Amino acid sequence: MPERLKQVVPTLSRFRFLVQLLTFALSVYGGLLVGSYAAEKISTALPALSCAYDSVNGGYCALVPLQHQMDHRVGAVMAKAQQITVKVLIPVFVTFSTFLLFFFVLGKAFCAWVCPLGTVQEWLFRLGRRLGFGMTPVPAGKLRWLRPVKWLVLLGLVFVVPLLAGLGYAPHSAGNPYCDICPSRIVTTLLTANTDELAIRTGADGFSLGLGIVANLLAGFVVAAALAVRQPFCRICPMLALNAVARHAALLRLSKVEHAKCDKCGICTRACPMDIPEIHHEHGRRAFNEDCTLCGRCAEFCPDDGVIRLKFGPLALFSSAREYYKRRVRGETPEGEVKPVRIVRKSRQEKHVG
Amino acid sequence: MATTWSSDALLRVTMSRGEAPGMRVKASVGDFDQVVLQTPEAPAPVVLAQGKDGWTVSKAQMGTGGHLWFIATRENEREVVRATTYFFFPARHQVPTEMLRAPRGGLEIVPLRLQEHGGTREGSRWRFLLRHDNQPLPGHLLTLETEGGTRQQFMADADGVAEVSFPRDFTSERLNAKEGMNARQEFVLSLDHVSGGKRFLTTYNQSYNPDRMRERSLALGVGVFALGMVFAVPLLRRKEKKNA
Ligand code: SF4
Ligand code: SF4
Ligand code: SF4
Repeated sequence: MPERLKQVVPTLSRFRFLVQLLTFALSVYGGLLVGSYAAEKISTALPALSCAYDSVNGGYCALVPLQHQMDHRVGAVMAKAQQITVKVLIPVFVTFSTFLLFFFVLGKAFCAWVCPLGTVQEWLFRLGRRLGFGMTPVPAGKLRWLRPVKWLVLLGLVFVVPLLAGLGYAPHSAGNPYCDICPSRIVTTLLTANTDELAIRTGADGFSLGLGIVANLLAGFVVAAALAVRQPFCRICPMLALNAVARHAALLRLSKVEHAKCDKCGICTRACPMDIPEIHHEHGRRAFNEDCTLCGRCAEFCPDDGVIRLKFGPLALFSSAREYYKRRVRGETPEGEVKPVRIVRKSRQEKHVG
Repeated sequence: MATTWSSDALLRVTMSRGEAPGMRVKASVGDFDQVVLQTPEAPAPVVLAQGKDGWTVSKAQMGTGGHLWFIATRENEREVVRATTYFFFPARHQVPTEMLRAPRGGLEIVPLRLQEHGGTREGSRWRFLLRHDNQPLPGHLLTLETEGGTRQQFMADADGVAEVSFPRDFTSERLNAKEGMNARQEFVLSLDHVSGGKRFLTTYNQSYNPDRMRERSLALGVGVFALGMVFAVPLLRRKEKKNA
């Protein structure tokens, strides 16, 4: 039996692929698979980006109530009473604490294991490999100005603009601006053959039209870019930022110990879908970067024993190991290029002979 | 207030916020002997108190939110009239399937799924189980009447399930009103049945919204999406062959 299991799940990546397949099916097609109400139950337990606009899915994005509460509840009451009362803040905090609860267990793993948009981008990148596109990494210099964008999106589009809309300083149509530009809304609904979200609102106000244009430009860009750039949207995703807040307190996390060989190596960063340089150059807390999606690829491709670990509390769920690494790079390069199997076997034989 | 577009009694539920939170249920025409409320959390029917201005639901009876199912009944020796509706307010709630399907007796229009989050739009399809004394009514006709002036009938299949497709009949005044795509029109479904020398008349009323595509352009959407893809082209290079 364990042998069978090894055949089906030979690597951590394969295991993650199977989990993604399941969560993808549930969050995008959940309504069809398990019935709409059951799907809704499941999806209310997931934090976000299983888009609420997708009518057949089980998905329910936590960014929806966050924006709504900013708009309707906090905004409206602040406008009336000019102060935030406990009564107002508690419901906001309920949404937020559901996140935190989720994060205290799964941590940042939502991104690499559950998020349907993350999965779509990953599959598109694999498709790009098949189509023969070269990989375009995001260099450390670019990351420096790209990283703050997700915090601005979180702060601006999820919190501030909806709040201003509630207060009456922004148009009412600005009540959930993040949803209005979210590529997940367009991509996941398209996957259920629903084109309503791809269509742009031309009959509403200019603000909606503008957001609609931004949304479609972004979604189109993300879909095409994902063929060459790993996880292009994730770089500016507000969920990545929101997840990052509690990452060190979460049970599931990434750990790296200092290692002398790291200086000359850097395979982990090459394997990282978020091109995180810190996993190469830092260790301890600082190696677990705000951009990490807990995919575990760095640990898979680190050629040294026990340097990078995926941990659940004190338990190491997966630990980098030389033997595993050797097996892993036979099938795939750290950058995700799939190797033709035959040639690899040959060179192995040659090695044995020589 | 009576409606001009249907002679059936419509139940209208309003939520009062502020000082005394609660709800009020009113019937558009006629009087009812009693109105009961069921929720998935408290599925046993609760008889509502009748005031001078309709029936009232206290804060405790409202429960935690989600799906509230109202049944108003009036009965004499000749006929049994039953009006039903449902009210949704977002909160932590349980799934209503079991509560809706639970045997109740009498003539019923049972929604197989309740229309939360404004899901009932022009052009959308919703399924209803028609049954009398808990037995499905295959081949029976369910009549839809809408505020937009549509009158249409839908026949139940072999399982007694009728699929209602909502017409595109929003009036231009409604569409041009400030609410835009959040505009509402009422509809009522009615089912007539004679059994044991008695006439049974059951209705279910609620509201629906305009088709969102009325204010959207798919062509523009596809065009802008394609333009977005074009912007990503500089990132797409052919793989360089490594020399070695
Ligand atoms: S960063 Fe955003 S889009 Fe990417 S996987 Fe995480 S939640 Fe999904
Ligand atoms: S640092 Fe490691 S676990 Fe985190 S995203 Fe990069 S490869 Fe995945
Ligand atoms: S792959 Fe392992 S050895 Fe190489 S830099 Fe990363 S952590 Fe260090």
